[in-house]
Amino acid sequence: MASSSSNLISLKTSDGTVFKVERALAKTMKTVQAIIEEADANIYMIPIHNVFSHHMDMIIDYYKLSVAGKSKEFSVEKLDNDELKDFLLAVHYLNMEDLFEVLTQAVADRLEKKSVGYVRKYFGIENDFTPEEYAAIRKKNDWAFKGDDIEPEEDEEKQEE
Amino acid sequence: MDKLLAATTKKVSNHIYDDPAFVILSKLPLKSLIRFRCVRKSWSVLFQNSYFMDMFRRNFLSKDHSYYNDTSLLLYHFAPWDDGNYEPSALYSLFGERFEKTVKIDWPNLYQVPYYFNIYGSVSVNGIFCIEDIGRVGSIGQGCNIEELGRIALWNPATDECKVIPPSPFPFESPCWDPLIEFHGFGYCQGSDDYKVIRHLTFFPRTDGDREETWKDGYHESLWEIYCLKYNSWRKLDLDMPTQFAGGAGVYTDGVCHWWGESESQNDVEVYLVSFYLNNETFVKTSIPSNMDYIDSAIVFRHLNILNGSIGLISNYAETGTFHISILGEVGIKESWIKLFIVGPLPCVEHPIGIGKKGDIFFRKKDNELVWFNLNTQKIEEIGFKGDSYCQILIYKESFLPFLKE
Repeated sequence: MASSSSNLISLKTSDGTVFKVERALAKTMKTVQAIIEEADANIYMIPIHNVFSHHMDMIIDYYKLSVAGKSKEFSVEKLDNDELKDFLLAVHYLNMEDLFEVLTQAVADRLEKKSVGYVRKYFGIENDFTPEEYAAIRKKNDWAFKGDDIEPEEDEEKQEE
Repeated sequence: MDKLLAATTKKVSNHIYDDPAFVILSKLPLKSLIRFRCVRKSWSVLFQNSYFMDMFRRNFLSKDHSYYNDTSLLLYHFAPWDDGNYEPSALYSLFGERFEKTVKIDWPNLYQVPYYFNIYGSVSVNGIFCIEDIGRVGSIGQGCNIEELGRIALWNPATDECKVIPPSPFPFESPCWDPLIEFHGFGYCQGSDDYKVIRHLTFFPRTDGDREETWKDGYHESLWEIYCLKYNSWRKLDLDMPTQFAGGAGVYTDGVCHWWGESESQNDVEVYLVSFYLNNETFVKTSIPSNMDYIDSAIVFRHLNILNGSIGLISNYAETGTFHISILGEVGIKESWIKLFIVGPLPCVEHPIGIGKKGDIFFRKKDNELVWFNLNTQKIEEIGFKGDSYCQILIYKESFLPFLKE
């Protein structure tokens, strides 16, 4: 029987830090919730892979703000694009719906004006078009590459030299 | 420990957002999404993925767009040729959770006697309307002097500031010709901090008894005219621009007036979205792709609207009672029309009268009842108001700033 006498759940991050969090916060992490429910006996400590202590700090910040009705004040401005991606993956792993929505929108906002080349690097995706296929699809959608504030493609920049 | 790990893996794979990349893509604006089609093959066919498109549609509708900040809905009703039991034109504020409440807004007191007005273009720009007087109370239907045609004013209902626009000299230049004055756009030009009105004039020979001399005048060229508040005057515009499809309403977005236009070429009439830029007084035409109508219906009515901040086109396939809604990714690019929604069949519904916030579309039914349809819930409800002939829903942003500079 899972312990219901304690209101705190212990979560151990990948870097070995233990966070004692309120049950209500643990409930927003569907992955953690599933572990608690599946366990036959008391869980002493739940390991959360791919989640680091700096992620937990931000998760706790977000939780405190949303409980106070101020979730709109939560900001990830100080994170660079790669830090934001890591945080998103941690939240995805933990299966936290609201924060996941916030972070995916934040990443979308960062990627909006980026080049195709940047996006491939960012997601670690290989270009699986043949050169002919790419040339065709590029030409067809050429208008979407134009605009003052859109990042130019690396290979095309070189061609202009 | 392994048992626990297995359990968590199982739960994660039931996660509704399996791939964060797709969720991120579904939150991008159309132009970015189209560009990223070139990232990899599976991303180039996203628009054919109905699961992805459902996510994209939901996000598109729920995004908070600044266009709607502090705005309310107005219902404008215009029916001057009906049996005079009620007013020929009236403006109401529409509110309540189900738009069941209306409050009438009085027309400005311009001529010291009650007058009725027509709202040019069904748009409000910075809280200001361009209104055309359609006659004194009690005199509707009695005909008016030709010189009274096209009398317009700029009006802010919040402050009641009202500026009568001086009549244009061009419609009545020649006594042998009667003008047809067609409003095309009203908007604000940020660069010059100026309000402008653009109209098209077509001329018909005046037949006055047996005055045959009129034909000797030959052909009177139609022309474009533009009014600038700053100079408080009209001037001609030398442009070969497609005119608005009869009976259509245009839309306005930040310094650009758009309308649905037609122009005649060899054997055909071509339709375009015409976008007129107020700052440099030039225009761009956007045609629609030939495969936009894949439904078999001979009768299509097109309505231009703004759907959550983007230019939207509602195509009404009258024979089937279905409405297809496409949004435009970028002005001037015919490939950037994306069909987003298919509504219906709604057999009792006649035509759309405007779009509110967050995917609320207002329609007039065949029995004249006005209804609203929400694109998310797909529910349709009557608002408890009847609208004859011509009604429009307007997005209105109240402003207390004076527009006249002393």
